[in-house]
Amino acid sequence: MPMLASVAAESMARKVFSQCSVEESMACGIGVCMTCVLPVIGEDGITRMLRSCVDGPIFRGDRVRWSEIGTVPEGTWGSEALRS
Amino acid sequence: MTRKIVSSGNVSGNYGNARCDLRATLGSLEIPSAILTASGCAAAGRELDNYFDITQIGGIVTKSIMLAPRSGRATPRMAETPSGMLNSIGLQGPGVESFIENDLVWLRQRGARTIVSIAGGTAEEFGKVAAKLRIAGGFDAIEVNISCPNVEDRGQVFACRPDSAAQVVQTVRRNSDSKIPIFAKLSPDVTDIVDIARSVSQAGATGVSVINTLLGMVINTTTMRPALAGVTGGVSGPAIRPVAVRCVWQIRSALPDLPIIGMGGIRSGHDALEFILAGANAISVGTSIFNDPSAPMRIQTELQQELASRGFTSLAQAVSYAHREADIASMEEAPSSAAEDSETEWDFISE
Ligand SMILES: Cc1cc2nc3c(=O)[nH]c(=O)nc-3n(C[C@H](O)[C@H](O)[C@H](O)COP(=O)(O)O)c2cc1C
Ligand code: FES
Repeated sequence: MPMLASVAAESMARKVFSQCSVEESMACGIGVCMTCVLPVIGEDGITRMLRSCVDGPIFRGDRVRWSEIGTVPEGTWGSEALRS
Repeated sequence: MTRKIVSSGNVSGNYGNARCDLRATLGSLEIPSAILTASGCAAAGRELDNYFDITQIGGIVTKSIMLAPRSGRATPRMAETPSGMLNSIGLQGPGVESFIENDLVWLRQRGARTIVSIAGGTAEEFGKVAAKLRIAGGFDAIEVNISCPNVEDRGQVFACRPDSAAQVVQTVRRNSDSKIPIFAKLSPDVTDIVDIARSVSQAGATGVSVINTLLGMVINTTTMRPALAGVTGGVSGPAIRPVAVRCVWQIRSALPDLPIIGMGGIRSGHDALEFILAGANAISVGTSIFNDPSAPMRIQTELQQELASRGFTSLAQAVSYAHREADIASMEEAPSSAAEDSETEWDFISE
């Protein structure tokens, strides 16, 4: 993951399009369990916890919130419910 | 329950095309097969429909849905444990409105029987979710998840106290169509699960679903920190099966007529049979789906064979059969069932 994050950062700095195949720890691998999620920014600018197994594993490098993997970033869709 | 066993266990090699009626009646809920999926292990059925025809099992119990969209907890959300796993998903989901528009509509069009699992932070939230579902319609029953361990505040685990459990069930009952059966999902992490079962039954639950996961924890010895971001999580899989069978047995002993959906570590028809004999009217398959997405269908076929090989022509005949007085036939059976036990080794999830 740190390598993918660096590749994505480097590409963004050089204004080059990048795609990354992520590898989160998975229980089912078919989209039913929700263990493999990571924060990804959608077309609409909203961050969602997406499943790497079926929504990915390939995401645009500039859409994954690399440094915040392992957290639910502020403003993520549905995170208010968790914090309230 | 007074039925004499027709043959002892010796015919177990002779399964062939064994036929056995798997219909289950849980109060007013009648399903053609007693095999269901466990909430949170089958999403809303769509993914599993790629692996087997979801209309061919008893029904889909959907992931617990709350009033508003919910991101769930941070990752890591999973840790492997001996013969099982720990999860701390934190009820990630789109909220009840999106669930109704997308998932419920799809399940209905697909023709799958659907038990909608609901959750909430307060009894009032449970009531609001139930009210929205009542307007939408198009499902067969509600499972009330009062036992999710993955909430920040353990005080939110309504299933830990008879009064709070009853309050939630009563609220859901009041906000639901009176014809809709309601099952309360119970936690094994209590002093006396029978107390809770009795309480929710009196509060209007049609039956109970037992068990939810046990609260557990794993320490990562490399980071020397808790393995899960959420610190604690729920233990599931074969490791918890004896606890689950015990819970079913205790509730059945105390409440002979209460419909029970049994679950916890079921990964074969043989495991499912244990629950039925202990008193479950139906069973749910959860964690097993993760290493075999077609597990519910396979277990359904296996259970039919397990029942037929013991001389049962219907699943209903086998419900609570282990509660009868010991007889000669059952003593003769003991060696062969012990041998069957040792033949299955569970190959757990690989990363
Ligand atoms: C990843 C995961 C997510 C779960 N999510 C829910 C849930 O949303 N609602 C619920 O009532 N139970 C949930 N459960 C509990 C299961 O429905 C079931 O009660 C428990 O896992 C025991 O059965 P099993 O050993 O066959 O998995 C979840 C279990 C797992 C492993
Ligand atoms: S691994 Fe289960 S949803 Fe991705």
